[in-house]
Amino acid sequence: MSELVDGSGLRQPQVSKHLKVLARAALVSVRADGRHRRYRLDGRGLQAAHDWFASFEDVWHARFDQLDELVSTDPNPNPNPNPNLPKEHLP
Amino acid sequence: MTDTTLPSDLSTLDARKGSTKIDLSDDGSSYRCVRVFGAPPDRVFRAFTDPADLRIWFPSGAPPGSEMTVCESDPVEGGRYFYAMVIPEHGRIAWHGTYTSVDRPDRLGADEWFVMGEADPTGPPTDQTLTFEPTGDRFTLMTMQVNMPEPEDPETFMEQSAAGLSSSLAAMDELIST
Repeated sequence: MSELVDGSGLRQPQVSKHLKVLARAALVSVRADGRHRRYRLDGRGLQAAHDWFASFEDVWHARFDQLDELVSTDPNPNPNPNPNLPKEHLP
Repeated sequence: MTDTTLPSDLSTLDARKGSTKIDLSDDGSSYRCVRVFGAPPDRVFRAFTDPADLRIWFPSGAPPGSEMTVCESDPVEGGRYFYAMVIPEHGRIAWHGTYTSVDRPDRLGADEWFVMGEADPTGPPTDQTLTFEPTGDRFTLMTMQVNMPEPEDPETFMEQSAAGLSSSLAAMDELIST
């Protein structure tokens, strides 16, 4: 932590607070080493975020594939106000 | 952000049709989707605003057994939209929106609140802008820009985000694993 204090210009309580937040998000891990607490980056949190974004992408891919199928097969821009009237009679 | 420059020839467009490009900003505060659809802008605009169309495509990608229970849309400036879905073993999720600009068929703007459960929307909305550009003689280039609300206090936001991140990811994992 002392290296982070020196390198960031922040005070130790601020650095400590940020590290606790990062630890809760599984973005850093910590181990006690005598009087020191040693932090290191932890890829699990980032992997979870990456996986979440991939699933988020999958949903949009699925939605837009379905939307494209809808508009490609039914290109008429206006809803038919009278379903009994053939589409070619619409303005 | 990666390059989203339009290709100049139709054969390239044909190749691009069917491909969705999604970019998340470096700070995670916004994302942009770009997609070429095989119909003119007015048809694509309708698909984004007509409840009958939305019911067909919006639930896609949800876990099996999901049901869209509400789909309302009044696409005029100041008009509202409201979608709700029930996801098995998870419950209800809802999208509450207000159309902030409606320029048919070129552009659509909206403020949106995403809600998990039955609660009413609270807090600042996401800001969404969709543009529909005619491309070739029968295609539309759709760009969807979604900006998350600005945190009033970055430090508080960071704490809240981190505190919620693990539980949110766990809930999301459960949602998509079912």
